[in-house]
Amino acid sequence: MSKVVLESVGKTFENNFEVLREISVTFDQESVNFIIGRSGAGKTTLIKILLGLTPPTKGRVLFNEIDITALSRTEIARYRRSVGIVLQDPSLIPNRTIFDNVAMPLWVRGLRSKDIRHRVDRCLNVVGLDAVRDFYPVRLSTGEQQRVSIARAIAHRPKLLVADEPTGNMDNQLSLEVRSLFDMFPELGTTVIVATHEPELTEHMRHVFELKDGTLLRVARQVREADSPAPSP
Amino acid sequence: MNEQTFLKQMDPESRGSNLRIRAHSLLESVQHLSRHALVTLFVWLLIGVALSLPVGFWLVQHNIHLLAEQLHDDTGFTVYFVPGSSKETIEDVQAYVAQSTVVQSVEFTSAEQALEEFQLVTGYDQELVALDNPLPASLSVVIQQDTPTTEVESLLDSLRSYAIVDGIDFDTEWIRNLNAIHQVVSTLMWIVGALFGFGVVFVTFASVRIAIESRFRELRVLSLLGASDRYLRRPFIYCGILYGFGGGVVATAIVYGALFVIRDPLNLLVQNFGGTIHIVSLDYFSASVEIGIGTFLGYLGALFVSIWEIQKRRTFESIH
Repeated sequence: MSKVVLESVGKTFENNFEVLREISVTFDQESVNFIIGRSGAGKTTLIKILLGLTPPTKGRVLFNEIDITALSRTEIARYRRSVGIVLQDPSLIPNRTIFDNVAMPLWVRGLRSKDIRHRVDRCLNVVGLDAVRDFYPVRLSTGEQQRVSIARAIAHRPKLLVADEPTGNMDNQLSLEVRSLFDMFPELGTTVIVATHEPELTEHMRHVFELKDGTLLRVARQVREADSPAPSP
Repeated sequence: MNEQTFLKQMDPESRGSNLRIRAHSLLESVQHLSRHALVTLFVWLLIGVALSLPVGFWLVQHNIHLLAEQLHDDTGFTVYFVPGSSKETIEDVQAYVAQSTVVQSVEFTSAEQALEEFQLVTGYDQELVALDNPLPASLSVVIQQDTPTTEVESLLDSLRSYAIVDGIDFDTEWIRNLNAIHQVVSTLMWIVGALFGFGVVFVTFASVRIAIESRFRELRVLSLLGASDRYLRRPFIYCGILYGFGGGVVATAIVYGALFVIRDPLNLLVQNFGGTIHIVSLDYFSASVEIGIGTFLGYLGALFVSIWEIQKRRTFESIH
């Protein structure tokens, strides 16, 4: 179970700019959800609120009925261990191998070495990069680096995967490849929330929301029947 | 379902994994130190020098203390009487001294015995026989071991009040000076210890701060992946502990080396003062304490800086 509910969430910055107002939405469990909107619409602010990086000015964010806006720092850290994060910048550590980069969330959770090896290899296999496990990030293309960051985001089998502009630096072909990876995750029991300013990325997707003037509206779409199940990482 | 239960369910793999997390952090720290071997060596040397100075002072004051104690075993004084004093009054004084609890033994030397001894030592037979005996009768007093100076002073004051006492030669004036030097060295040891202890904390603080800065990007990612503050701090704290431990080992080596070099001249000096003791070096316990103090100071420096830096850099919890 990994349902995410936003109840009347609002965010006003110190300069009285109200970026989010009264957002109420439910992201169903094991669904892929896209939030679209132009730059500056508040997508990143919403993602930050979902990750517990910034508190909303009003409202609540419920993750499986727990209000994450009321959690302590330690509890927020623990909450994040059940969340996968993909950012526009892959945020790989340059002086660590691809294997180490993907293993990082597993170190945080204190898994056994053999479990770490097993999971990292499976995740790299899912994103099609098992041949580069001992490379350093600098040897990979931008698209490959982003796929590594997706492997890192799913290595610990998160219940929620949050992505902020994950295809921001990619061409259309690469973007669609990355999106196809997201399509796999509901099969793994993961709810996916992707913020993007590229509407074409959301074609045929069932759960699409547009962030406009601080409010979130569901966008009606012609839905494509999907998708092949993915191997479990 | 309450929040704690929920959070545990969210993170079931964290149970029983503390040891593995700590082992991983320790491995990270060792790898960091080995990757920056030259810096590590430099930090160890700095800490080693800083720790060896107060330890050196401690050894000096400890040896002075032992020397003073040994020489104090033979502490005593000589009471000289006014020439011509009657035997009875001298016996009164001798009885008074003998009944004192601080006195171990009293030996009377008459003027005649003193003259005989003098003649024996100097060989001035004829000349002195021709004169009146100029030497006074005397009492040689040996003080009990570990007698407080105040009690000896009190006995001396009482003796000086006798009219027949011409003078008292306190044999241990220089031992008192030695004790005063011991006090000075002891005070210096604490001052130097505090200053250099602070220095060790500062060196660790600065070194670990550089380590934190060099891994800033990684800290940001780890934080986003759910690492707690404690998790983020731990490798740096282990770094500090390893810096302090290594510094303690270097300090111990420096002290042993220094003692090896100055052992013979020091022994000679002690013998010149009439002592027979050997110079006390660091035993295993003292060496362990020294290494332990280094480790603790390293831990302190790393703890301060990791709390401070990670708190200060809360902004790394940013996704852009």
